[in-house]
Amino acid sequence: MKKLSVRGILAVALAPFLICAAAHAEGPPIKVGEINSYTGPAAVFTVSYRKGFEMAVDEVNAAGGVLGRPLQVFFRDDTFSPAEGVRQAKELIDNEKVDVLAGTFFSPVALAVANVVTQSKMFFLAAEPLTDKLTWQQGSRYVFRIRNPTYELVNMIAGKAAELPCKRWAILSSPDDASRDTVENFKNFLNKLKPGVDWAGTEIVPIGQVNPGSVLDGLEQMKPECVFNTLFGANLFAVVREGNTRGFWQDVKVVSTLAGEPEYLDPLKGDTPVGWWVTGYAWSDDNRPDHKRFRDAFEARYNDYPRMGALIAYTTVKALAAGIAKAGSTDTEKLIAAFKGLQFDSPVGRLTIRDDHQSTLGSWIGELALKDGKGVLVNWKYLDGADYLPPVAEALTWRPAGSND
Amino acid sequence: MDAAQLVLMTLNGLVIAANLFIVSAGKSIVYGVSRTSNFAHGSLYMLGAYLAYTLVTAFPQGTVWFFLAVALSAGTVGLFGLAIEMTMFRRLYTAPHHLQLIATFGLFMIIRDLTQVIWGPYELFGPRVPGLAGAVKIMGRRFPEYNFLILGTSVVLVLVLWLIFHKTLWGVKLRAATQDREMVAALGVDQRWLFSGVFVMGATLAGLAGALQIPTQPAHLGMDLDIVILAFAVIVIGGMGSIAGTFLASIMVGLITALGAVAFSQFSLVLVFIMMAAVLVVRPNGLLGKHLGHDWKDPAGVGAPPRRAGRVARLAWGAMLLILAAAPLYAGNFGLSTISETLIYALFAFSFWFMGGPGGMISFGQAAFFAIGMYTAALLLRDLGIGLGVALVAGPLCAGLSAAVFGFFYIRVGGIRLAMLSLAFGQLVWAVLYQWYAVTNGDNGILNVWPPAWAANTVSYYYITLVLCGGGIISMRHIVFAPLGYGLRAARDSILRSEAVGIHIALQRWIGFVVSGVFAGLAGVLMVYLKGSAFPAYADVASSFDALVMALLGGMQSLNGPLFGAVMYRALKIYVQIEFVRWPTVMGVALILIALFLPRGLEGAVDQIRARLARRRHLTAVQSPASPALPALAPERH
Repeated sequence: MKKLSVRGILAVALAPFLICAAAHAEGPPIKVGEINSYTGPAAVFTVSYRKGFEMAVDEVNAAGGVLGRPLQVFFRDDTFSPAEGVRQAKELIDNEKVDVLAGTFFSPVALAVANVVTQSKMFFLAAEPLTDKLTWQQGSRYVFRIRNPTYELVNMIAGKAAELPCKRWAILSSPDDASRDTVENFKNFLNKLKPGVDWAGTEIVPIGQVNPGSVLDGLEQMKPECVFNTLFGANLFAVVREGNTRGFWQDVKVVSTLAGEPEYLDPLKGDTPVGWWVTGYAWSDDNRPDHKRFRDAFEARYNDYPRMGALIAYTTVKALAAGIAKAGSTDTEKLIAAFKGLQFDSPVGRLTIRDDHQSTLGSWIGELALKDGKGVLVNWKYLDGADYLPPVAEALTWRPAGSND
Repeated sequence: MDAAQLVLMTLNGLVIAANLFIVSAGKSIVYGVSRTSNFAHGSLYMLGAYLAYTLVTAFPQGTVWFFLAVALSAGTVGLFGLAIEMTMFRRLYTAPHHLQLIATFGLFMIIRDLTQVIWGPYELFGPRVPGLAGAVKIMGRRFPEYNFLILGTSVVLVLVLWLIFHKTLWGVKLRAATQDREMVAALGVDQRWLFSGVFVMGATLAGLAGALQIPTQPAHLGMDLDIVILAFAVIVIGGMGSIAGTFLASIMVGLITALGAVAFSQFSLVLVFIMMAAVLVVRPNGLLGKHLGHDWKDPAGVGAPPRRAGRVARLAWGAMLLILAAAPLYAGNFGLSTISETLIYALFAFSFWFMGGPGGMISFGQAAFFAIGMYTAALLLRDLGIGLGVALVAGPLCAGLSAAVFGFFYIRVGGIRLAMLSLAFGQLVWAVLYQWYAVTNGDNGILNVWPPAWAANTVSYYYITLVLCGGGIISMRHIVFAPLGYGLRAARDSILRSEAVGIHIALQRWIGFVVSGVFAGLAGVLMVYLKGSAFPAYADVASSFDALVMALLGGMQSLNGPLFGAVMYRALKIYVQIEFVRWPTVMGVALILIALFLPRGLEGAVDQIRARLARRRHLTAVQSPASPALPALAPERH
């Protein structure tokens, strides 16, 4: 997986002496360190991600690279462990001497890598992590992010939740940090949109311990009219199945973050809980020209359709290329200045990186349905992130001292 | 809590228990007969689930087809069990249990990695079983019909196993072998097929349990570890080798898990391990376990006393220290932090070796003390603003205190029970760090633990690490030759004789554990300030196995073993992780090879080569009388 560095160095050293066509990137490569969970429980989310990442890098390099230099990516596996993420980040910075860091999926890994880059003064463009803390409460001047924070997703879905005819809400969640943020945000939004909600209780499911029977018992005991869910992975699937077996989902309305992404719908197949309102990715039906071009290129290259991870990875690389081009250099300080207010094109249209280091990437929300035994998103619409993020001025005040310099 | 909730909770607990019983029964029988503990037992369970998914989706829909698929998957896992028994386990029956656990941990890594290659990382959900897809109403609540099938299967299995054990000749032989393996062999029973048979039975049961799970939870890559840790707890609570004990313990663990899920979902894992510790204090052999005779002893361990460094060795170590002290002259930042990390791991490995080698008490929870040192330092800085200086005292102190508490339990057991108990305590600490969000911040860990200005630059922190790790290791070496060390070794080699000469074995071991904990804690403090962060992963099983493998690789009975082991193992791990996409498989194979072919580590290998050279020289000496006689291999005593 690692390119021979000797050959790389030779190529770099010889490059200036070679006569080259203007369209080809021939300068010394820009080294991009990429850390993600390629093994471990989140590997399911990084398969498509890696494909999207490589496709975007090839596109950038085929178009002449950035500043006339090709992107060279060093992929590293954090094994879903922040401790390993820290080790890989240090190795990439100190040993491979990368110019920028990118990637990560799991929020704790992202926060850990952010901590290292802040100490080492290295630029880091986080791709997929969801925790609000990454760009706000624990924000750093060295860290920017592409993916939507939970705040934005919950803000989108809470609007739908407020329209549902329920007073009594139960919550289904995991004990991890990002999930707790999500629940906190949801309660705040819904209380504001619809005062007088009766919170029946929260069922917390420890990660790695699937006892779906107990979870459903707990939910039934609360006698809710509506349920808000943030479960993911094996826990989500087991709980959905148990609820289907018991016929529980027929009696309640459910809103959920993320459950509409293909990474979640693919394993559920016929068990897809019809009628849930979710955030997700309408990959098959969104035919806006930019998105269609992305999907067609991806399908042509891999003979497979893009999942959410692929879209985020592709967008991350495009943002990185645009940002480096705008900075005119890979100098960390220039990159930080360039990324604030950076505008770049993505499969979902033109995006901006705000002054609080957060991109305006939006999300699809819709209703789950079954089509040919597979889960799909119907009645969906794409919502622009800019409309659902907090005002920049307010977000800036959430960031720690010194991180806005 | 109303009556309906109580009934449903009990039923859920029993369903969890039924699943646990099917998995653990096989493991318990295998242990009872062959005294092997298999860390990869959960991997067989996982394989059963994946195979069942493949078969169920390939077959036509239908109740009969479903059961056929389940039976076929269980049978296939049984055959796979036979294959690994014949290629790997046979070589491990006479090995000490820590080698068995290392080899099977390697197998565990390989199976998980290859499962990902074959089936992909996706969670795979089987369809519901036609005819058992719905739910019945119990006291106004709905309860899945399929759960009755799982309950029924486990009850039937209890009966079948009882019949096999009590009404068949094979079962009688199995029971006989459980009680006295040598006698059964002396009576002319072919042990090899007995062992193979029982292993296949265990594997089949694990496969069956996994296959039966797919209508309720998806086949996924974490299910191997989740179940094997619980299975360890079940057979320790129930008593190893006892079917009735396993049944009872499964029900206890199942009920407490269901109760935990309702009442204390944050601490459900912790409850199981607390129950386990409580049972072991009252009944060290488990609820229904009998004392199964002494564990196998490592003959290489006995009669190979550690030797103090001679003059040449001292010079070599001095030179080594000089080279390390001069590192800032030739190593860059990355080089220095890599050396620092290796030094810290060497101290950690040495702290484990101190009780594992001379103490003869091999624990699988050493990472707990390391992590307690880390979190003490991290929490002091985060909550009180107290930095490195105080942490270097407080961290080892807290780790030593917890070692005193854990050690109180450890000294009551030995051998395989110690392995399981320490594994459980290690998991307990991990579970607290992982689930207690309010204090430890869960899997986010504690960040921003950087050294104060006077130690912040890489070179100064490197020297702090060098001095403290070197000092720690030298201190432990001295203790090995102090009365405590002699007492530990005496107790390891002969309990009876040590007691006869008046050594208070329990006390010696207790102090030994505290010493070991203190230095593991010191290593933890150094690590947290090197990395700038503390995470629960530092307390997990893999981290404890790391300590063991480092000590083992160098040589469990060699004073320098943990140092060489730490250097080699870190280098191997870093290299493999960067060079191979499928690095877990490569590491797994390496672990199996180490366990099978380097049981005494590098020291053992060096000894063998020396002995061979000596024999050759001896031969030439016989041919030419002028040559000197056989060189003395006797260790240089101080």
